[in-house]
Amino acid sequence: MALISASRKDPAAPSQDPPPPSRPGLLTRLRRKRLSAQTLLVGGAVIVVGYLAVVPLGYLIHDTFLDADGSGVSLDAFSRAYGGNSQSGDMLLNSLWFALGSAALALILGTTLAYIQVRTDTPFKSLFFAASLVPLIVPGILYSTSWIFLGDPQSGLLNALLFKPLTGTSPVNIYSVWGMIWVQGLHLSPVAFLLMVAAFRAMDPSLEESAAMSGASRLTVLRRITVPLVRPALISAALLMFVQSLESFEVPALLGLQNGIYVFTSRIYFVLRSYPTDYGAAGAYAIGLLLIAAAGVLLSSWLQRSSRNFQTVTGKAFRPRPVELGRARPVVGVAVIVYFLITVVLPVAVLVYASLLKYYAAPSAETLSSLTFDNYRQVFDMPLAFTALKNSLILGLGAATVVMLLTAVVSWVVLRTKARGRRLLDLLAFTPIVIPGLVLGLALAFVYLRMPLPIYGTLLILLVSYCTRYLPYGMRYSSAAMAQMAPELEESAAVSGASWFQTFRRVLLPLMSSGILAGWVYILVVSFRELSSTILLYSPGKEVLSVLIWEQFENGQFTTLAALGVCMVLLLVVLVALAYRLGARFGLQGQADSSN
Amino acid sequence: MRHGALTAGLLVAGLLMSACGPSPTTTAANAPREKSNPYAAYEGLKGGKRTAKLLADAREEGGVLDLYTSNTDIQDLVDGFKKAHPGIKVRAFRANSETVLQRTLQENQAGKPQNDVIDTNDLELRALDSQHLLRAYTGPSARGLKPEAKGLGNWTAERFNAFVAGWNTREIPRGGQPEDFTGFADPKWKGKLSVEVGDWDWYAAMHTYLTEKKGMTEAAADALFKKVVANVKVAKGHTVQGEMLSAGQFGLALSVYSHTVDKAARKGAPVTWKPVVEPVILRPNGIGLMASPRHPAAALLWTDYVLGEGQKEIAKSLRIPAARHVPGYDEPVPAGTETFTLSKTGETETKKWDAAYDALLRGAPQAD
Repeated sequence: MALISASRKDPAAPSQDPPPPSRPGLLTRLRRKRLSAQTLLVGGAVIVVGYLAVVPLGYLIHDTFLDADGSGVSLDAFSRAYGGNSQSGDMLLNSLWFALGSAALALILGTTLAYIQVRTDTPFKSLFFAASLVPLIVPGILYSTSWIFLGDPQSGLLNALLFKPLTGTSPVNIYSVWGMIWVQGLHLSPVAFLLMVAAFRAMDPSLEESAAMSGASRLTVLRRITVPLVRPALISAALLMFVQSLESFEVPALLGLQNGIYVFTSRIYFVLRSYPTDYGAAGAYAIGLLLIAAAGVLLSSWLQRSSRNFQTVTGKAFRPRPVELGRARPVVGVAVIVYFLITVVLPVAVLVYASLLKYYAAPSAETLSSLTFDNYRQVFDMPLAFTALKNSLILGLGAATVVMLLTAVVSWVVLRTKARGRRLLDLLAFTPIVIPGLVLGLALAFVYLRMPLPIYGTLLILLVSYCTRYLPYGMRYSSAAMAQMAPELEESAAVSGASWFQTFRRVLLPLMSSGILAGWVYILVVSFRELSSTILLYSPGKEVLSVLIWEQFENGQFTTLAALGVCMVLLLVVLVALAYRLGARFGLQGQADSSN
Repeated sequence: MRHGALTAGLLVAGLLMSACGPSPTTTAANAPREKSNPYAAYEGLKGGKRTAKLLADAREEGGVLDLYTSNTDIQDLVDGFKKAHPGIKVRAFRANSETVLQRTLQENQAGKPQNDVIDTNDLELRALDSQHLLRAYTGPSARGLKPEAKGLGNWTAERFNAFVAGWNTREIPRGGQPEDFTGFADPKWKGKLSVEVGDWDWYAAMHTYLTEKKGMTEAAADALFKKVVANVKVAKGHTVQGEMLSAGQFGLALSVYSHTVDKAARKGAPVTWKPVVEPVILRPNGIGLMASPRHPAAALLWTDYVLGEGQKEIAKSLRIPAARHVPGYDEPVPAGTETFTLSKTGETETKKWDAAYDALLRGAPQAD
């Protein structure tokens, strides 16, 4: 636990407990200082993050609250959105149920996996990497469709090939709320896994050991020590996944509609597809989601109020030692394999199988004898495949790097300073998560069409859009990592004469590296499939992979789409493996630094 | 060096902040601009002389064409055009029809139109036309078109999408399909049918067909649809719908495109839409010349091609061409089939139909 003496009053240290009664705002303080690296960096990051978040939010609020003729403020949009025969109450309940279920499932799966991977001597550690990332890489539309082919009550492979012969029944029905929760939960569990791996890595096991020495059982240690210590990351993950499930439409649309299960976002879909588009109503829905999300952000900062409880990265050296599973080792090993089979092998196998067909049909002697590589040939023959790959790479790497650097600084401001408005900044950085992609695209197009800078029609506008869209994720990953660090390390650096910038670069960033790397990987992967704002903002010659996927999808080429999906999975697995290999070096160095 | 980069970053941020000053407004003034006709110089020109002049001017404009399209088979047309006019480069922005419309509207509201030609669905073209953003095509290729491809306003149909009932021949026995749409109200179809969640335009056309052509009352048509919808599973996206039809996850899709079924059948999938369950709903997809093009000659060259020689490419991709006759290709919809196209009046009530279809699928009471 952090061993900070309460009497320290080091003027160079940016944060102090307890808070002084009144302090000038961050900007005022920054202005008072000379233009130092800190001022520039911190001020710049805050301005950029604020700007990124304010543009779409401002556009949304303008469209929602202003009358159509622009003359006055009104709440008409809300009655259009929630009133009449919209059934939005029922749908909101469905949505909440779906989002809570998915977030809970993903949290349990992701956390358990992360714990086993980081803290135990489990066999098959290398499988975790694939098990945790592949569901994230496969675009939602393909992942859901794979599950349709697996879990359809009549013709699904699980029922037809497994349960029917064994039990004579077809128990699996993917077109149910449980089916939706299952698919969404599996698809989201990487978010939790990535965050929790970082959190467990940055945790000093000596606390657990002391508890165990004092006679606490394993379960008690887990419940009273381990889980409370990683609370910031748990809360961050839960919040992200809950809001993301509330806001997503892919899984509910593909699985829920068949049995008439409508969710809240089907209202947004409905409103955005018609012309003239009622952006006011769409905004009213987004603001509804925003209120829920804001409550979540405030709740999470309230839950983290006693921040010192989680600060596990302190000046003391520690070496995470794996828990020996002992007799449980084979059981855990089997469980890992089963999980891997269900979340990765099954759906990806369906994709690979579909990609080798001319049209999808359940496996039979006939279909197996007519497998072909035509779909792959078609993928490589696409005239834009290379351009799209290059642009997706540039954007994915760019957005991941920019967002993680920005949010590392901003999370420092939010968690380490007492600057006025820091909670608002935190909240603001979370708002893009509820803004529908199309609305974000329109907001950016509106601004940059009227700006003299040559940004509209270039890759830059896509970069701005991705940075905005993934800001909330970066913030959660960064602040979860920051919350685990005791300020004493920065303070000792400052005492030893390091400038703020040096401290940030040499102490904070390396120590946060596993959290930052996790966020970086997440953003890299998901930016490859961002479509809703991309499709409005890209320009000819600046295509990205998701546009190609969309085109195949619209064109009715499911099997080609599957081939493209398989290629994407391969490519991203290689990329992420490389990132981790590089990151491992960086991270090790960080650990060494911390023990100095 | 780091310092320099930081300063530059801040400067950019500052610039961005100051530039976003004006508050966003979606109701930018968009008064019809009656400008001189950018295509006037070419009116009346015909044959080789027209092509030669267009080609020469298109080269002078920069040798490029900016095309916005929601046609997913556009690459065939681009390739064909490239072969016909090797010197002109086509820059195609491809997106769904709503996005193509939004982008064009936004750019024109900002006074920065970026495209010369637009190729998209009828509804979006009508929306653009109502904003006075299109110019009618009067070139020679119009002569070979079907009458229903013309007279649509300042745009011209280049192909038709046919909504048909398509089925899986393993799930539906030969002759098991009804003769016309009303047959799907029978409870024996329960769980075997599929509709797509966004196909309100199909619903609008079918509903109008039932009242206008079949003499049903509004209430009777509503009641019929209620019975049909009791039998359906709702799919999202025509591709997933088509693939699930091929895989036999439902027997029959009520509103699938004929070319989706034909393409799957060409690959060997057990699907068909013939003998036709009447009516076939035809929806024109068209091409529009922009009122303020940056490359007017290239725009005309493209339109001449698409409405003329390019019709062959459209027929090749199993779609229904707008030309009366394409040498070497048979009309996909058999002669004598009852077809129906939504009239302009029906199209103007889009909100009503969209909301009604949404409520019908959700089982919600209809809004008035």
